[in-house]
Amino acid sequence: MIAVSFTQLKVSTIVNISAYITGMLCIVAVSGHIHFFYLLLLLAMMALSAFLEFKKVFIPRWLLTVVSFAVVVYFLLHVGRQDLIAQVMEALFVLMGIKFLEQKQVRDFMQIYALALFVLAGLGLLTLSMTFVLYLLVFFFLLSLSLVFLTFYSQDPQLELTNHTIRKMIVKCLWIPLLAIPLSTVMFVILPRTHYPILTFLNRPDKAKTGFTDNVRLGQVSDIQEDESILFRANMERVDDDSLYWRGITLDFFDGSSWKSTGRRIFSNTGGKSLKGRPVSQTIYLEPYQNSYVFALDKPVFIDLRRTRKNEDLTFTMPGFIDRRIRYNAMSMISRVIPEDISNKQSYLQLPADLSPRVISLAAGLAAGGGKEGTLRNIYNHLHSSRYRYSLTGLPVTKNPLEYFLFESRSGNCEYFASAMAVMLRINGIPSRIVGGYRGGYYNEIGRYYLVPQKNAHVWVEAHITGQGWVRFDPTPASSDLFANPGKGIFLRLQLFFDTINYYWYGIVLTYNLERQVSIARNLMAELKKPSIAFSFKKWGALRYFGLFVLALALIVIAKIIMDSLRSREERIMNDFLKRLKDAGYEKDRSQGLEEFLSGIADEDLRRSAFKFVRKFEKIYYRDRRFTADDLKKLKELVKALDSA
Amino acid sequence: MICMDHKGVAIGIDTDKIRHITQSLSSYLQGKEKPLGLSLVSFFSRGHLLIEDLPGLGKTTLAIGIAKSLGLTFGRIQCTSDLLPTDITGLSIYNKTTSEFDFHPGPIFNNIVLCDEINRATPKTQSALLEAMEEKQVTIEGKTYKLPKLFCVIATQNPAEQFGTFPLPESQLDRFMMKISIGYPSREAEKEILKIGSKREDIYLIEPVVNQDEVSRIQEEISYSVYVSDKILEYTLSIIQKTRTSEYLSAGLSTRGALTIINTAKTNAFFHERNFVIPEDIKDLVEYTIPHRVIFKEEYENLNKREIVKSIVDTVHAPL
Repeated sequence: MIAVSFTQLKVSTIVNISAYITGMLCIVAVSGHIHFFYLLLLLAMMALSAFLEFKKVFIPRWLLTVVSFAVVVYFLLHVGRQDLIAQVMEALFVLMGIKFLEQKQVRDFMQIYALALFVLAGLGLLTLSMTFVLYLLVFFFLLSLSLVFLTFYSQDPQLELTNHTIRKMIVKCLWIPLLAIPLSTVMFVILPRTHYPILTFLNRPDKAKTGFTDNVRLGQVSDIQEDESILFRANMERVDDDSLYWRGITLDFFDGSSWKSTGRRIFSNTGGKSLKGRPVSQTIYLEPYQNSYVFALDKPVFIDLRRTRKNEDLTFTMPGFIDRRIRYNAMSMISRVIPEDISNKQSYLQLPADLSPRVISLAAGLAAGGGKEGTLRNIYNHLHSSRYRYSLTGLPVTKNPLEYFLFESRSGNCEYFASAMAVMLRINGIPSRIVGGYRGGYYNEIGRYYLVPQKNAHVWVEAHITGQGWVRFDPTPASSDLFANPGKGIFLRLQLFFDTINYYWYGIVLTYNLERQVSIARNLMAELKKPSIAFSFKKWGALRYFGLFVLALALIVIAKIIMDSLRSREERIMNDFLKRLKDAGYEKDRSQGLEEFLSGIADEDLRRSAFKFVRKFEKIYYRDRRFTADDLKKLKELVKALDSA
Repeated sequence: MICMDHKGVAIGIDTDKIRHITQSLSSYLQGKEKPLGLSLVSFFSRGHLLIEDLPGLGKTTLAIGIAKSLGLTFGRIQCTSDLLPTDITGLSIYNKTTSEFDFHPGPIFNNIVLCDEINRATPKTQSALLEAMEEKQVTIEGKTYKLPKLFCVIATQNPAEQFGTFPLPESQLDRFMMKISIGYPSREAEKEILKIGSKREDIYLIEPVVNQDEVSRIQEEISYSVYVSDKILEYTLSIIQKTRTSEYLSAGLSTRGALTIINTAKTNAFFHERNFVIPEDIKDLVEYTIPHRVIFKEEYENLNKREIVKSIVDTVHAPL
């Protein structure tokens, strides 16, 4: 016979050992990354904890809670932008040490593991070394093991397990991380690394909608749908509606029906002349869309976004499609003019060979004797008059759309107006190009930003005037809804309000701008540190919001009062009675009758006085009699008498 | 406590009598207060009682005691497989002198009829008895004979012996208002019995506490003056609904079962010196009024049926 000697271990011992190993793991893992003092501190606290546990002496929980709280407050007050992660980890170390000192219950063990997890996560931000993965694996294993043992521990801390069982459990627990790793590889490694969001291909739009394109085609579609979805939001001060042109692209080659962009060169400040105008800085949140142009208010000078290219024509492009929401700062000069001399004048005078003679003759007829500026004005005035109508429907579908637009239908969208003007300018020898982008936008007063929807896509013309440079002309008749705030109806206003919330969510949470979050926290703290917080209701607006708040509060109170009065008076007395007994430690089950409930009360006096109430109550209640004012008064007295019992 | 009902009759006097009956009987029925109380509830609710217990625990003593203390007549039928319906109901015998058939009433023509080991009787006899219980009359050779106004059958059956028995069908079990068991007496009570010996003889000498008229009056009193609120009716309906939808039961309570619940609750309220019913009156009795009326699913047949019923009732919210 084989003699098997089983040694037994208490489950509490295993749980403790596992926690101490986790603590040691943290110390080893982050050594070198945070101040040496904190490593020693945690080690000392762990040693003290082990000693106290051995001696069965425990520091009162409230004291440790106060200390933890003080540590957190101290940390928050001293948090700085430099070395933030290390500071957080130091705080976590102190908190972990305090947790070790407590008389550990299941939740304390859980907290230790949670803190360790945070420490390791912080380490992941500090180091790229392979050892981090090793630490993480060890921790993962320890965690799954402890969770299993903690489950036993929570049932019975005195439970004893044989070595054999423990060994078996440890082996089984090893499987948990081993099985979890392949799954997490899929979740965390592959998914975020795909170039495109995997599932968004399902809703790629391919309808003819208003929106931005990198070429302008005429004569292809007869109707255009207006697309209300928002393309970008620009956080900035409010500017004049007339200057709300958002520049995206310039187009210089016309083949008779469509405009294309040729050979865009990278910006080089050879022109030597700088833009004049009012500088406006914007923070733009651009939604993903099917192109690579980055928008900013007309004439953008600078866009603070990695990998963007500034082109000679003051447009900005990204290397690929903008496939996720991006945020960037842009600086623009509000001006109609780009003071620039052009060297390749010919490319801006290009015209298709088969241009309609009617168009040429019309353009020639508009030439003024007084020079190029007069011609320009004539052409502009010709188009920008009641002769032509703005329309998104009934657009010409022909081979020669420009001629049809100018002489037959006389109605079209901005593409027709701009094309016609640019072509006629070129016929008269004035260099011109089409600029594509967006026009107008709703200004959201609450969030202080412009909302620019897809339907505001627009093209206009830039004509080059010798001596001045590129000057913006917009021959399209203004349609007022492009930039007016639609906020007349309550529904639209509500929409704007929700958009504001959305905007802040993107700005603060989703784009995860740590700097911004820290600055908000700091501002908040600075406010708290001020000796007094002065609210000023100088603005009628603030007062109105306050009024609304009070009104809402009042409504809630009234609703509560009505609800209360709907419940009968005797019910209220009964609730009062039951509440008093509940306070005394006796809670009635819904299925219990009153007397049945009272018979379970151990306190003789309490039971007797409770019975007095119940007898009186039942006599009226179960005889379906009405509770008279006198009855209610007596019952109330009996309920009160409970307190003295 | 004296409560006035709508007729202006004080029910306190009658409740005193009930207490008196209980007290006088309990000296003869040591340790059987609970079954005695239940039997009285059943009797005053004008129902019949089924006692399921082992022999020798005092079923007969209980029945005789009730009959004697209430001043009622007592009849006894010992059921066997060769018992005929006429052995219960009685029969007509030819009288030479009058040249006519004289009717000789059977033991059923008593106020309290003890029917021992009812499951030993053949189904034919059982149904004759049960019909009499329900209709309160017997028909013999085309002639209908009314049973006494106060009429209560106390049937017993032995749960242990199953051989050669005819278990009562569910539909007939429903006719018994309550099914109770007496159980073993406590150690002290049993010691007392051993010391003094059985009091079976003495019990025949009990002086009636009330007479038949008074018993009838108390029964009327209970029917008419104990108030049942709509809240209680709703509560009862909820209980019935629960039994009908319970996962443990394949058949729930019948309407007769619901009536029983209300009637016994009224009596129970009266016994507690109240002239209105509270939920406890119902809850106290559910384990005696419900289990034999419902059909348990096969897989739960062997569990404690009273506990199951209690657990079902405990899911019903009390009116307050």
